[in-house]
Amino acid sequence: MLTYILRRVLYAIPTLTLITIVSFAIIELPPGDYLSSYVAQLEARGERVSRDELDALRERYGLGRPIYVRYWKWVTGLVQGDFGVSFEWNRPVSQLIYDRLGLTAAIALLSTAFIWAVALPIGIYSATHQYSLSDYIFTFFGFVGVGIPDFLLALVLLWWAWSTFGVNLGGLYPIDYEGQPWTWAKIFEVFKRIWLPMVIIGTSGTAGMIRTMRANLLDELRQPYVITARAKGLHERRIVLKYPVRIALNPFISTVGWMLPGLISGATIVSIVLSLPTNGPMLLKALMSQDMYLAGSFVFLLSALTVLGTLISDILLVIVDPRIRYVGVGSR
Amino acid sequence: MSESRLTRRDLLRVSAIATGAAVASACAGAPAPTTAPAPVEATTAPEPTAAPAEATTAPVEAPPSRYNEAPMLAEMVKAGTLPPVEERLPKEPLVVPVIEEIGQYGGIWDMAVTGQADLNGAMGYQIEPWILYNAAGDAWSPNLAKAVEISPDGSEFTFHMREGMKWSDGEPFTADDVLFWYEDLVLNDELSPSKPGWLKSEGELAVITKVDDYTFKVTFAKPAGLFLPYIAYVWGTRDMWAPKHYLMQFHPKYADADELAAKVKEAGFETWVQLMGDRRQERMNPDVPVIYAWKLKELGPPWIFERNPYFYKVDPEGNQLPYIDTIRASAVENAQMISMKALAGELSYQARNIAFSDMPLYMDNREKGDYRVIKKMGENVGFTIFPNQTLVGDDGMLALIKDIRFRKALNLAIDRDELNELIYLGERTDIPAIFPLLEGESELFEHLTLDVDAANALLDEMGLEMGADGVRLRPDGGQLIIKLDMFSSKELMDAAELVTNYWTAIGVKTSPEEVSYDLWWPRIYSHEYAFCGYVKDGLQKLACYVYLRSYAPVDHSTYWAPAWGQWYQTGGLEGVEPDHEDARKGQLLFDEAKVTVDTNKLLDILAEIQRLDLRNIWEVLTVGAGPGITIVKNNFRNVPEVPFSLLHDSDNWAEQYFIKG
Repeated sequence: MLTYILRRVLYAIPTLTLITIVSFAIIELPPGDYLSSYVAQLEARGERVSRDELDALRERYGLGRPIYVRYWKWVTGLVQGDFGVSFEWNRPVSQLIYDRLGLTAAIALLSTAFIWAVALPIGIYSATHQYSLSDYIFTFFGFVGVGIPDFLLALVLLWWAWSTFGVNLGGLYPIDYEGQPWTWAKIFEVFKRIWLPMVIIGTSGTAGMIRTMRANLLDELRQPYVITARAKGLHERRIVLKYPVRIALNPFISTVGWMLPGLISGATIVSIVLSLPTNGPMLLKALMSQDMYLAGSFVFLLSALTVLGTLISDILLVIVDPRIRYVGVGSR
Repeated sequence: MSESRLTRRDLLRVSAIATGAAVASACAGAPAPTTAPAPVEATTAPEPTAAPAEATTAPVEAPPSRYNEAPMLAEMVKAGTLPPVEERLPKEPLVVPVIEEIGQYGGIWDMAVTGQADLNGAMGYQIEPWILYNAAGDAWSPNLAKAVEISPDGSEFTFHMREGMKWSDGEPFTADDVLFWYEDLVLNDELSPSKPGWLKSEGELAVITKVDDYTFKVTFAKPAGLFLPYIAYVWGTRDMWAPKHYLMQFHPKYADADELAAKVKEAGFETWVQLMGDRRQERMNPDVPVIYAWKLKELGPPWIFERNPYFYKVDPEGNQLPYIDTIRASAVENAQMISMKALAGELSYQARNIAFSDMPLYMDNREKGDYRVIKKMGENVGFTIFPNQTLVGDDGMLALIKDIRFRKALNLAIDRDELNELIYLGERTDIPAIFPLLEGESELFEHLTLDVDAANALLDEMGLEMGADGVRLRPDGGQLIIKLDMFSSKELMDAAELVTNYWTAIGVKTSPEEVSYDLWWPRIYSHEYAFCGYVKDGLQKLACYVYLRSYAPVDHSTYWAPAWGQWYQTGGLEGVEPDHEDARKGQLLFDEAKVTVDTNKLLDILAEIQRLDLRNIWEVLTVGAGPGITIVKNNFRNVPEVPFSLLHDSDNWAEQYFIKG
């Protein structure tokens, strides 16, 4: 097992290298660079930058140098834990990401918890009560949840709160708390609002999860071992929870690793609509303005976490599902 | 009201006219009503400042005899952490006339931005030009400089600084700071590979010399008539000074090499040039001393700007400005959220990212959000289409573009009233209004009246036959299709759709295509577009010279002839020499303007350049200038309602805004 993990980690190195090269190149593909898009943005607002100034800036940012030079500089820094400096913010990339990490992670964890808390019981319930009225009701809402795009739900809720209560639910706290240290009052304000992204992001995920859980569990419930258990007079609840649910959880476990990238950039669109200071909107902006080091670092982090997350999922699967036994080349 | 108070008020008014600032219409005695301030009108264009060779008019107002300060500063003075206000102000502080009433100290000004780049633009409140042009753009008054003398031939400018003026950290602000900026920052080739264009006359860089601690001279090889308009215009230049005592530590000339290297490394940069560039940024570095009314205290989001205790301006009663303690710029993730915050009454004063098309929404929610909506005339002309005179890659289309009849027909086919109504809520002026110098020359504007028959007749005369499906045919075969590269907002895209309809009526098919940020400049600089749609620069009078590109091909970003502009800009090294007499004439006139110092003559030359522009119908014009809107809380006072086009969307005199308790 240990050797297996080690091998996986080693494989990850060339994979990640390749990903950084490709992503750096892709960000660079559109014509122009950070400065041309910066100037175009200024122009769009009626400001002007002279060409002389532009050339001087380009020189200062090192944008005149060929891409492989910049890539090498960035990637060597990366190895030492230095992600480079963002053009737009003129601050170390690591600091920018770190600043927003806590909130991003909080929202990702909360919405996942929400999804699990809602989806699992409902999934189990509708599988064990297949084709009952309540099954149909849950199923109906499940489909609606999947069908409504998150951002639309966010917009509608924002507008509803504003027009009914005159409350602006955008952001995480009222403007007076902006820049204030974290006090209980501020945390309270955050909790007053954080349910909104939690529910919005959760809705579609919940719906999907309910369907998956229901289908999996239905499969399991028809297995001979369940029938045997039932025939032997085991308590129904125990029959369901002991093995079938555990096995039906399989897809949840195998996707748990995918949550990791979500912790970094999750729910971008909802964050943009609700104006949440998470990493997602920053990633999007960095990509749009070709803020190379920032965007590149994001892509790198996302890839690294995906690789790591997959590994974690695999390990968890082995633990949870007794039927899976890894027989690797190394452990023989 | 006492006699002396009346006199002061009158004086104030004179001073306001001289500075070209807004004057509250209430003048004799009674203070301006505060609940519903009378609309403030732009002063009529004052007499042009006589011959520029003379010294500028000194402020009319005598400085107040004693000074007051904000409570937070008074406390610090009491505690001994700050010198008294008399010692912090220069000997002759600038007296700023108030727009409505003397303000009260304190409060937070809330605004919202979409990120660091947006903040850099939004903090137009951190701009202090040496001199200030009036709204009309034809006269100026002292600002940072107490006075500027111009030599008779217009090549030497002597700047008189304010004695005793200080940086925000209390260090003296002197000619050495100007010299440091010039010798150590501008002349340093590593730091400034290209020298600022506004500091050159006929390609030669001006020389700056120190006369004494509070006087310096800018000497050009040739007369430099446009130098002052450039330094007064906010995007022409940002500064002509730098805090020497602070920046010295990042400059190899002054700093110890090893220490500097360590600093560069610590900050994560590669060279001292990057470190210097970083440390100089007033909107990113809270440590750099400034001379502005507010100084960055905390890097955002939210960005916190706090009052500068050494700011050099006072109100007519001697209260040190600014009135407002703190500016707080919070970040949102998209521009629409700024609208939302404004509607909810969370923003004190917001001019940026407020969409004109949302006007009805803002008007409806005024009571709920406890704000008012101020319409301010902007400088930019409405939707404009630029046919590319130097198009590369489509000779057939180029031949058409070069035919003035074609350009005229395209102009004649546009229903400007309808476009104004549908796109700009009817708030735009007509085109002649943005050419005040050409008043009365109505023949220049004839092609701007809707006349579909005349347009069709012109196209028929050119031999562009109408095809079976109502689309004309190009002489070289194929349908007459105009590909229109569009940039920027929904507003302009909507306008383009309308124009498409108008042109269908004369048998010209148009396909507007939105070009992204990143593609715009590469596309313009490649000269490979036939038509592009954006806006014409609309700065008035002298300021027009600062951005002359829409009127004559003098810049690579002259959208109607980028190659000609490039040719002029690079001194013939790149680009194409204009093969059109009038285009070349426009360039030569600009050359002439650069060495002309007489204001009236400069305006005459400009009129001629504009005449050439209109006579040749270089562009397809739709509507003129119009207001932008600003959301201002009802208790946020002293906000002018006139354009300060030279200061862009920032407000001149923002230091006298206050929050009424």
